[in-house]
Amino acid sequence: MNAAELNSGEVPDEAFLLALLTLPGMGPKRLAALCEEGTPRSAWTALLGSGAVPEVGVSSDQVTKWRAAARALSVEDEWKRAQGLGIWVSTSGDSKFPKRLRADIEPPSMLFGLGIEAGDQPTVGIVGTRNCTSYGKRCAFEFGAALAEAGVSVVSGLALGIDAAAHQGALSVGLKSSAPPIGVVGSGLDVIYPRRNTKLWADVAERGTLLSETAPGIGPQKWRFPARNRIIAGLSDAVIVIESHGAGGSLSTVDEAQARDIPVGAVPGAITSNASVGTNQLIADGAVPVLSVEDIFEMIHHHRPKQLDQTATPEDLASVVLDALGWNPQLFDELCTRVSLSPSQVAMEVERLVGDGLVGRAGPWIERLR
Amino acid sequence: MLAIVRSATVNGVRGHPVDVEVHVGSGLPGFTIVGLPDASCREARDRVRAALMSSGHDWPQRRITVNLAPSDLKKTGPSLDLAIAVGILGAIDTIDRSLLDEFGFLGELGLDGTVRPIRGALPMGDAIKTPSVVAPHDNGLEMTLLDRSVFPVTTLAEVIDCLSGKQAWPDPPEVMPSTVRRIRPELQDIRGQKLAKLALAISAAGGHHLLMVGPPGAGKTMLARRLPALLPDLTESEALEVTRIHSAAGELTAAKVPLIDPPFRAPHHSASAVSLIGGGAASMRPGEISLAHRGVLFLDELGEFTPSALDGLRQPLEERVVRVTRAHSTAKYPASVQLVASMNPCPCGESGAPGACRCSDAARARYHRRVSGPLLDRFDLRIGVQRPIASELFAEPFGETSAEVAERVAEARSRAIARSGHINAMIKPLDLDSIVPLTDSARSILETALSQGRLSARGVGRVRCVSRTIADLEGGGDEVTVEQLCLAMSLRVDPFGFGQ
Repeated sequence: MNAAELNSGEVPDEAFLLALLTLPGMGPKRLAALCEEGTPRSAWTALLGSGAVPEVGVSSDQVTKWRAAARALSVEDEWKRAQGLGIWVSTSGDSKFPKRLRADIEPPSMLFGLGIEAGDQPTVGIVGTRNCTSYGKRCAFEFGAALAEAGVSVVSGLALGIDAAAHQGALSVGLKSSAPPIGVVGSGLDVIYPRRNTKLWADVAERGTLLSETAPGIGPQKWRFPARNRIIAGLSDAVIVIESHGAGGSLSTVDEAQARDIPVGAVPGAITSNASVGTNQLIADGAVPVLSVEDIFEMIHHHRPKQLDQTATPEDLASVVLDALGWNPQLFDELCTRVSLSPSQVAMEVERLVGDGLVGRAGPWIERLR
Repeated sequence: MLAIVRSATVNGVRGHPVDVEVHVGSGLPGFTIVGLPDASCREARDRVRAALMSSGHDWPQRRITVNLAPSDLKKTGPSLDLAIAVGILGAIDTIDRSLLDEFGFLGELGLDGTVRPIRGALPMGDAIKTPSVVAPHDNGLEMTLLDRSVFPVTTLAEVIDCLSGKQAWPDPPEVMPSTVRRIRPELQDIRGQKLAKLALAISAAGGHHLLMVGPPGAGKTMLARRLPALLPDLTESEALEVTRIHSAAGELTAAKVPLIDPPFRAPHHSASAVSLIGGGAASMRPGEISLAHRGVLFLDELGEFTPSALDGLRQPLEERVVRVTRAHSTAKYPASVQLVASMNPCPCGESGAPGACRCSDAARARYHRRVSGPLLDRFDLRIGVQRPIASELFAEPFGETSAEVAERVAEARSRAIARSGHINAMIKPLDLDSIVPLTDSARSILETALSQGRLSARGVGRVRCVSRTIADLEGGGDEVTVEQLCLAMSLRVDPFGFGQ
């Protein structure tokens, strides 16, 4: 394609923005710098021509790569292909663009979406580690369900572990009254990642909103996830970390939230649990300790009538085993040494407790669930 | 002039009789061997000639033809050397041909006329139907298991002298029937690990396959090595069967005969499918699973074995026999083993406790995919093993000794065999209701587990078999209690269930 064709005016400005986004290594900051002086159209024309490109602070190698990629690409075809995928496109000017992001300190130039537009209802970001315990998963699920039921949209990243559990919780409540879930992902909307969340991905797109600032066709790349986290923070009225390791990715969401003055809450965990090192530290550093979903409502000044279900209490031998089990995962062997019962008696009590849903099995580990 | 000498060759673990027909006639001097010899067998030409000459005999300058009948059976290895040498001497009337019908000859010849030991002497001896067998001296111990007179010889000259009456046949070695185990690793060496020790006893008593999942240093290998110590001694017929297999594989050493220790085989995880199952291009050697017949096959680091090697084990584990088919022959090996395997919970191996593992989710999933579901399903007992804590490690030895547990195991086994004729791992699904009847409460617990997806239909059956073994070990009667059933369920956990 030559410069004359580009000026034909058939192709909208958004198409050039999309084309720029598909270039290798093109993140939000570089894109913003590239278009600072002019428009996406002029930036694209500069890349195609042999003249100077606006100063972006990248190496000349990178610019050469962009030029090569730009020459190999037809803006019009790319635009048509994106529209054929059923993905809607929104830029900060139009009505589909989430209101919260318009005033953001670092708004995405362009958002791709599936499902409905993100509305004005209250939102809470729920984030946490992929490698979580069943305690974390349970908290995420229950908070997700309670928030959705009270009309608060759950914003999360659709990763494995906490993210998935939070949205599964939000989707578990009845369709009518519940708030639609909002998912913000790091890959293109036609590249499902992680693959194990295929169903969740489809469910969120069907009942709520799925957003990405990555152009369709681009797979998961490590550097895109922290950038994605800033959108999660930007879309949320409060960010809750359920479980996080000492240097977990969810802590980057916390940094983004703090940069935007968005309140951060953390769910306390056992000090012996690696998966709670990050969250406990957050609480020590001044984050709001989230002891129940009520604490979250308080953070976003939301009122809700409903109470969580009270769980049934076990009895007799079962309670002896339950007390010995405590709140840390244990192996059967350890459990047997803590109670003065035979292995087969312990096995029976554990089996009953598992049947009642009070205790869960994670591989060889036995965990108290509630 | 023609001489016929009886000998044998081995294919898989079975010997096959071979008639060595030697014809020495007029014609251009030469020496040919026909009848499908493989390379090492055809090289007998040079060995036999040198051995004869070293023993003080002239090489006949005539046309020598050796036919190995039946001609359509492939002959491998040097075990026919001695028979060929004796045949040539018979054909030129150096020794009396009429004597040859009395003997079978087995052995490899050295150039100096020594008779060297061979692989598979015992199964070959079985195949020879003559009243006596002449065999290499170094194979003498295993040959005593043969139900015929065996003459162990050391040189070709000795054989010729005995055949021509110049000296008497040597006596077979005397073997003391052994009643003491050669190796019995002590269970008390392991501190802590109560559950794992219990699982070992159950595994031994019921013949249930055992999988141990735990971090490095938890003692998985130590535990596995103690399983043979808990198994009962081999009976006489079992010992004969095992000796035959080990002889055919060339794994038999003098120190092992007579066998009463159940074999223990621990192949490295780089093992190929053929080395585990058996086969090979020519000799159809038995694999590790057959060498572990009537004993324990231990696969350390199960996840590191190649998937094809592991999946090859599935059918033999089920049928307890291996059938290997190649273009030129088929072999059947017994493979009734008790499988013990160990692996780490994840690539970092560290802890595996929920939330504590540092592996990426993808790395963990990849690791778990290496062991196929169907193979995992073959393990009736799957337990998690953790490193012992310091107080356990430095504690006094405790618990039962290997001999004490072995005694209980033997009792439990005899209970099971008196009841159904076989060990509990072999209970057929149809017999479950009569052998392991369910009480109402046991049924409801199983139903809950089934409906929550914690047990498969197959799992329910296997858990019931294990509960029967637990009851047999605890000395109980015909009833299996709910507690025993629950313990069986606790010993069959999904080893990779943590995380998402």
